[in-house]
Amino acid sequence: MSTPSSSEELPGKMNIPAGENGSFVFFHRESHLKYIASLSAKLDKPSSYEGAVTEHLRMSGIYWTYAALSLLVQRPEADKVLGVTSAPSDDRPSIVDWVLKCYVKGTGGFGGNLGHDAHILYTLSALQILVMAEYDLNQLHVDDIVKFILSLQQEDGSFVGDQWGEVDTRFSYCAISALSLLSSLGEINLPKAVEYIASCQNLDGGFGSMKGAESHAGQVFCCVGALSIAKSLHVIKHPDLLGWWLAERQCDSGGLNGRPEKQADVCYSWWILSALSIIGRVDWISGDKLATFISKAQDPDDGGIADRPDDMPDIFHTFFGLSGLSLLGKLPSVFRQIDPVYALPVDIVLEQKLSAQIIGSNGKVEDRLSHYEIVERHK
Amino acid sequence: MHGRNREDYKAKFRDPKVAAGLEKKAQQWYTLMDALIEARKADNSKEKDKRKGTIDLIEKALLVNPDPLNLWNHRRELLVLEREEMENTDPMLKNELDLTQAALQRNPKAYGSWFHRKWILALLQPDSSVLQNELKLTAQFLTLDERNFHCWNYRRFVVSALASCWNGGWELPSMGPQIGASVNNSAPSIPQDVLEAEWDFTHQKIQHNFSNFSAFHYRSQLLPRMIAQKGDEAAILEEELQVVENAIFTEPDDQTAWWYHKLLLLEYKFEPSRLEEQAEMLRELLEDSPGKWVLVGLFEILSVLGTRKEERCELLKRLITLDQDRSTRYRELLEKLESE
Ligand SMILES: [Zn+2]
Repeated sequence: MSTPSSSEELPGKMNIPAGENGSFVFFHRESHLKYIASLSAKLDKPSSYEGAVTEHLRMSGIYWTYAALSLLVQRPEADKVLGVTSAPSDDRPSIVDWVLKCYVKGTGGFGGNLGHDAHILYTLSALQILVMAEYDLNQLHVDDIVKFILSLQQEDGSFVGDQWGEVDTRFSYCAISALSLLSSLGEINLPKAVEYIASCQNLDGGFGSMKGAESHAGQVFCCVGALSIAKSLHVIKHPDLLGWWLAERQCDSGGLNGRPEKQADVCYSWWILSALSIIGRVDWISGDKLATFISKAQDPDDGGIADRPDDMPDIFHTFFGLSGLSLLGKLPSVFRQIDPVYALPVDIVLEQKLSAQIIGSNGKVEDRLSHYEIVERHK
Repeated sequence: MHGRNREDYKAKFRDPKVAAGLEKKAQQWYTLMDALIEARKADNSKEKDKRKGTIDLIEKALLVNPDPLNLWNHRRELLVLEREEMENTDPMLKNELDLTQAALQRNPKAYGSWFHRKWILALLQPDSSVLQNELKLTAQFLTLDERNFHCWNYRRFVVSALASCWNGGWELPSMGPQIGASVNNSAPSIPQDVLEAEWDFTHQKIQHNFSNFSAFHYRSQLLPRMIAQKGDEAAILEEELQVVENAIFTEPDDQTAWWYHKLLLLEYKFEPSRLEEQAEMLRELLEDSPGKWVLVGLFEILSVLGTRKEERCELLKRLITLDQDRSTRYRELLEKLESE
């Protein structure tokens, strides 16, 4: 694989600072690149067992792959490695072409794979891939996609994932984020959507998958992220309590768990750090210990990051592990940074002029967030 | 992928026999998927025999992998047609409940399986004896994994369905709603016996394991209803304080009960003398077990009482050294307290 000059100078195995006295952990950049580059071809083989069991969510898989790679190399290189805009070989279409083929005409949404039904989860993943690929979204049937998303909103403001009616705050996030990418946020009943999300906040400060459901860190990201895009962070009751609940997800190992007294898992690095970034309280946990935990979950030989140390990596945890390191500011500055609201590279968010709201961190705001509307933390 | 040891996993694929077996499984899966895609395209669902054949084929696939929503969607399309031609839908209900149960036994966290179970109940609206059985099933699943939030959500869905039955209609606003904490006019009241049975259920779960926050969470949802439907707030809240004290004296370093404690303090009013009493208990506990959560709990009680500023500052200073990962938060609290 060829690498452009700017990242070519980076060593394959590099140090990440992780504490006082110059202590550091290893980051196996080269191995991760190898892992990601080989992934799609491997999963596409009809003989791949992993490919078969994850076939239904390939759209999200490709988004995680592309986004993860985007944090390791420069833009043109990511395109070349994955064949984003031009077909990598005769028997494989470009990623953009493949995504467009997953659009379900009658419905107005995207499916998880060719010939699959439209669903809001894959509609957001598809749009995220397309904006990363600098595809002009106006070439899509924007009106039909907006109509599809509109049809998913319920009377109480919640969102279902498709016509069959499963409700989940994940779908609220997907709908609101997707509409923002399409500059069509005004098309839904946003106040109602916000009201429903607010009703999913629990007395422990966290948010659940639906009204009455237990707080879960993944759902906290979805709810806080959606409120951020809707510029309605003021509806969060007791943001200090929410921040505290999130901070208590850090275990002695340094890793974060999703709920009290559960095991730490690398994917929560993303769900929790992004929520903490949005509410301006990243420094309420130990970034050094978390970075150490993530680094231990790397596979130094074959690349990739797993849910926890010594486990088998997958692309989901690889993306969320890398994003965690990016949010902690632990990756070298030549790499693109991840945005905690849209889960896209920051430069894409800026180019697309995507807006959101964040809570200031005691007067300081991270560079990557400074373009957003900032509300002050009240004392 | 969660909880797969890396070396074991790689070794498995290195074994040519296992690898060949998995390859074969993958190919069989794609063959099955192709057949189903063809069947759906051919749209011969109007022919009863072919429809039945496809429904069976989908079942076969779902028992291998319950995650593809596509398969559930296809199944539901056919079931809706099937139902129009049926006089007695009991066999259909039984079949879908059996299928989802088998799928959930293999993978208790599959979104699609739980949702399909909700969907078939909402479609066929069985009487309350079926719903009562569903409560038993969730109890069974919760003995295998007491924190499975899908299962807890499903249980609350069933309870809200029972409430709708009781209130004279099966009209659920949509598929999602389950009982929430807010007790307002629009929230259906839960039959008293169901409410008390649920309340006791959370109690059993908590007594079995103080670490079960899922049970504490559900209790926090039921609490306002208990107070509204039974009255006698003071007695009920006293019971809650005792549940918490029981848990924290047994496992002072487990954060579970402390969160329930925090939300009680946040949401309800207690007699200051009772809180003083609890504070004293925690001070004693600190002598044997000077752990973080006892310090935190004592700080929270004193903050509610609004007294003993010096003691609170002292607690925060101890926490800054004891719980360094979160020291920034304690520093902020200390700064704020000192400036008051
Ligand atoms: Zn995970």
